[in-house]
Formats: sequence, structure tokens, C-alpha cells
Amino acid sequence: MERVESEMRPTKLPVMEAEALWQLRVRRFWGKVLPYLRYVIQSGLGLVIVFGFVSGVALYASFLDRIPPSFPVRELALVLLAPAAAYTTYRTFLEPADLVFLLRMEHQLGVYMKRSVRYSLWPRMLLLIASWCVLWPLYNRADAEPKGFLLSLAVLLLFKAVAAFGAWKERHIVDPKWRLSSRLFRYIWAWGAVACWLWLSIPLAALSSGIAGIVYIAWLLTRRTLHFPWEAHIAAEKVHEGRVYLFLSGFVDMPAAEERRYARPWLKRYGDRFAFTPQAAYRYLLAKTFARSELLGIMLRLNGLGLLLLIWTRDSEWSALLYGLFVFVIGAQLKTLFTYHRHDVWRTIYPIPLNARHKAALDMSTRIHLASAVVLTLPLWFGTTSWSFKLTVLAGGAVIALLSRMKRARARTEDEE
Amino acid sequence: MPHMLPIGDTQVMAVDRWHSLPSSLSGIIILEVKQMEPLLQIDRLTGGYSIGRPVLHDITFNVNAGEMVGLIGLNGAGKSTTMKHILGLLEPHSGKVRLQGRALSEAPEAYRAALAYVPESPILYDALTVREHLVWTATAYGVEQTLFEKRVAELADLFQMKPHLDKAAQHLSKGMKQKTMLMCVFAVRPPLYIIDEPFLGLDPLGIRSLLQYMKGVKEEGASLLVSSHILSTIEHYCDQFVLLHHGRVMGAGTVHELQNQLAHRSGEAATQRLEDLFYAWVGGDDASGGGLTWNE
Repeated sequence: MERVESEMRPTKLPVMEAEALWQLRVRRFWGKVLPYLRYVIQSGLGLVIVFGFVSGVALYASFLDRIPPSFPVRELALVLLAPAAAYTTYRTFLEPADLVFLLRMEHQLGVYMKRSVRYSLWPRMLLLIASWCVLWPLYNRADAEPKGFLLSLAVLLLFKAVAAFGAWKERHIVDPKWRLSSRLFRYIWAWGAVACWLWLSIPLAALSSGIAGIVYIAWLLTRRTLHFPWEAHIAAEKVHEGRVYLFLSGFVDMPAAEERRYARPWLKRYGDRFAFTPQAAYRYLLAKTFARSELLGIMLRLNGLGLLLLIWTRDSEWSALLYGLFVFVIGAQLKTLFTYHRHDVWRTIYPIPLNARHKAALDMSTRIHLASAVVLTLPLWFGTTSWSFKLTVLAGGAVIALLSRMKRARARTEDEE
Repeated sequence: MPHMLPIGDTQVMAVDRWHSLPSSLSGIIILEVKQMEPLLQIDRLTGGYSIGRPVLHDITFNVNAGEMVGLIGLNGAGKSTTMKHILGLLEPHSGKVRLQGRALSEAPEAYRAALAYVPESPILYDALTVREHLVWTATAYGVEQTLFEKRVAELADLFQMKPHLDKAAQHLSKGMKQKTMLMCVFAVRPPLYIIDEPFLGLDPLGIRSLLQYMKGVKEEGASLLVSSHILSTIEHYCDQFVLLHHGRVMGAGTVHELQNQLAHRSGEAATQRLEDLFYAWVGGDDASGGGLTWNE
């Protein structure tokens, strides 16, 4: 009987141990990731970032001296500031095994979770502050009635705090439907509040975003929530880790990590044309995987952002540089396609030639790369640059795509082994 | 009509061809006697994960066409390692594995096309639905679409998976994942099925459906190599058993032959169930097995 009682006594996790556990988890994560950053820098990305930063600063400075009178500065500010205010997520570094080993210490994880919230919020707050600081010279000069720097910064941080609270409550909501709605409301609220601040007078903006904020918080507080959403924390961790690994796998071979999958019912037929054609078996599998992957989202965002920037610069010859940069980055990201199913056991069991996977990835990446190269030239056709310039840019895009293909085709022999 | 005659450990195919001979030879019955080769031959296989530390020692057994063979043994006995050698996932240290008379290195694609495998734990793609897994497998094995649709309809009914065919694999329960794996192999109908622990995660209805289906494919001429701990279930379905212990074949044969062998070793009555005899025999044995520890 005595033995049973002692076993039932709750295990203590003192503050120091929770703190130490947090430190250990953070160190372990960065210990896994940092060695790979060397390869990222060696890949030329470091140079691209430095080059982008220097040329960006120079372009921005010269642009500040000749801002067109009708420059849509509020729209630009909204596009830059609203996502920075709305996007918040929390890193907890919790692992599936914690569900077994830390569950009974759940009530003592307060310190651990506080560290998690602080760790997650600081960089995101800094991103918002940096965005506002960079935007401020342009906003101050181009806006007809600019609001004060510090007041705007304080208001933006307040918006961020509300969105951060929303994201934290969202993690705790029981019903997945409500969780999704809550996420949608967070984005609507953040975009709306930033727009109110940019377009309305201070009292009107305070009133409208204040009322909307109170309604949003009240809505959040009336949802059914879990005290400690273990599964949601662990699932979010997998997503974060998957994203980091996905980014790094663009530069170096990474150990497989679980990647987030997206249902995307509008793409459910994508790849069906390869079904029941044994030579195209891997194209079927890759098409299905790509349709639900994070990579497709990245491709769409890169193409979307590239199109926006190229619409903006379509009359300038700088557009060629921007175009080349986007086609290059898209090509670098497409390397991820080659990592799909690389260590797949079925590759060695199913009656498919060993090089079929690589061949399928090569064909698919070239098609996507070429399609992106063509799509990104669309704004240029409506610009005022010469036809020879437009055609040269298009040819340049095709050359980048084909050079990527040639480089990756060489890896084929390695795959066959 | 070919007629099968059991002779000793081998089977002999007798083909009566008198009716196709010229009329001058009518009345003379010629028997063309040909020894039928086992579908799968494992000949003195020694192997494992690292050279110098074999997990399997000198394993020999055959699987004939239309036969279900049960690979039995305790955890760590070498069942899954044997299967990995058959699949070509491990290279033998010595000995041969032949499927339809050929080693994997001689004709890799034909070798792989002749078998389908269900692993101990389901290995599915998060990004694919159940139906897409079936299509991908059928595409890889070159199954014709109309035949595939017919088989899938039948299998989905049998395993009660119809409402789940368009669900993403990551949202399936453990049992449904196992059913998906089983449906994938049964949709392609290879000559040899290698199934590691087929009943794991299945509900009683699923187990019954699976046994019924395995019996069906066996009657159609396919062979099955099945590993399982649930002896009470497979003892009624397998034609032959291979008992592995510490990486060696400790007994083989039909259920009665194995009963006699185990009864002889354990000192129990041979009339007892295979499961009881097996546990009576291994009960006192040290089952530490092979493998590496973290300190090695």
C-alpha cells in the first residue's frame, strides 16, 4: 500500500528544472540547425542577401528623392505592416514523447511556457518594429497626412499584442472549425485595424479598431478551450521544424522531417493523367505530393510576390535583375522536389527502375521552372521597355531553367546507385 | 489438364498430352514429368545488418506456388530480417535468395514485380489519400485500370473502407492504415505476398476478412509468406511453418510435423495446440537474441 501511495505522489518539476529543460530544447534545436547554415551561406545565398540589401538601400534612397506624387504609400504600408502585425506563432519545442513523460507535470510547466511565449514574441515584435522603421521615411514623405512615428509604432505594437493573444487562444481552442475561424478573424482584424490606422483620423481609427478588437477578444474568450493543448503544440512544432528543414533542404541534404500537408481539394485531379502508366508512376506520386506540399505554397508566393514587384518595376531595366533573382530563387526552391521520397522504401521494393524518381523530379522541376519563368515575364510585356529587352529577359529565364536542369541531371547517376 | 502429384518434398507435374500427338502414336500415353521449382527458395542464407554480426544463420526453406507459409518465432528471432533479405533490402553475407528461379541481381524489375510486401508498421504517404495509394501501387505494378477498379471495389467492401477511400492517409486510424497497406498488395495480385504481422491493428472483423481473402488468393495459385505471433489464428490457415529462434531454423513443416517436433523437444503431448507447444518449448529459453546495444 505504501509503495502505491509513493508512486501516486505527483512528480515535482522545480522552476529551475523547467528552465533547464527549456534551455536544453532550444540548444538542441539550434544545435541541429546551425551546422547546416554554413552550407546555406556557401551556396551563394549570403551573397545574394548582401547584394540585395546594398542595392535595395541604394534604390530605396534614390527612390525617396523622387517619389511620384500619386504613389500608393498607404497600400504599400498596409501590405507590409498588416502581415507583420497579424502573423504570430509560438515555438514550444514540445515533442511527441512529452505527451507521455511530461503530461503528469503539466501544471508545473508554467515557467517553460512563459519562456516559450517570450522566445516566440520577441523576434516577431522586432520584425514589426523594423518594418515600420524602414517604411517610415517613405510614409512620412509620401503620405498626405502622416501620423507620428512613435504613436504609430505604439499602435502597431498594440495591434500585434492583440493578434498575439488571439494566436495563443487559438492554439487552445478545442474545435478545429473554431480554431480555423479564429485564425481567419485574426487576419481580418489585423488587416482591418492597420487599414483603419492608415486611412482614418486618429479618433475614428481608435474607435473602430477598438470596438472590433473588443468584439474579437470577447469572441475568443467565449470559445471552449483546453487548459494545455498538448497535441496542438506538438503539431505546431512539427510544422515549424518541417519548414526549417524544408528551407535548409534547398541547400543541403537533410534528414527527413515531417512536412505539413495541405488538403487543397481544388487540386485533387492534379497528376491523375499519369495514373496507370507504369513509366510515369513516380510522376503520379510526385504530382500528388507536390499538390499538397509546402513547396507549392512557396512557389505560389514567390510567383505572386515576383509579379507584384515586376508590375511595379515593369518600365525600368532594373526589372531584369529582379526577374533573374526570382527565377533563380524559384529554381533553388525546386531542389526540394528531388528530396521527396528519396529514402522511400517502396522505391526499392516496387518494380520501378531506380532512376525513375530522379527522372520524374527532373521533368517536373523543369516544367514548373519554365512555367514560372514565362509567368514572371507577363508584367514586362505591358511595360515600356523595348521588345528586344523583353525577349532577352524571357530567354535569360529559360537559360536559368535549363542550366538548373543540366546541373541536376548530373546527380542522376548518384540516384541510380 | 495438369495434375499435381505430391512426391516426397517436391511436387511433380504430370501432363497427359496423348491427345495432341500424331495418330500413329495414339494409344501410347506419354507422361512428361517435370520437377516444379519452388516459387521462393532460400538456400543457406546467412545475413543481417552488419558483416561479422549475422542475425540469420544458415537459413533454408522454400515457398511453393499456392502455399501459405507461416514464419514464426519470438521477438528478435529474425523474421523481419529474413523478409528484408527476400525483399532485397539487405545483402546476404552468404547463401542465396531466389524468386521464380532468379536472384534479385539477375532481373531486378521482374523479381520485384513478382512480390508485394506489407511491412510490420504501415508506411504510407501523408500527402496521399487511400485511393491514391492504391492507384500509385497499381501504376507501379502495371495493373490495368478496369481490373484495378473491380479489385478495389471488392477490397473496399471486404475491409469496410468504402467511406474512407478519399481520406488523407494521415487522418486514418492505425487499423485503417493497415487495411490500406493490405488493399494495396491485394490490388496488384503478385505471385508472392510477404506480409509481416498482418493482424496488427485490425479489428476482429478485419482479421476475419483478411484471412478469408488470403485463403482466396492462395486458392488462385498465389503464395504467401506471413509472419505472426498469433499462432492460434494462423495455425489453421498456413500449409507450412518455419520456426525461427535466435536466427536459426529450429523446426519446419506442416502443423502436425511441427507439433511432433515441438512435443519431442518440450516433452509435452503432441496433441496440444501449436501455440501451447511453442510456448512450452521457448518458455524457459533465454531469448536475449542478437543485435547491437548502444554501447557496442
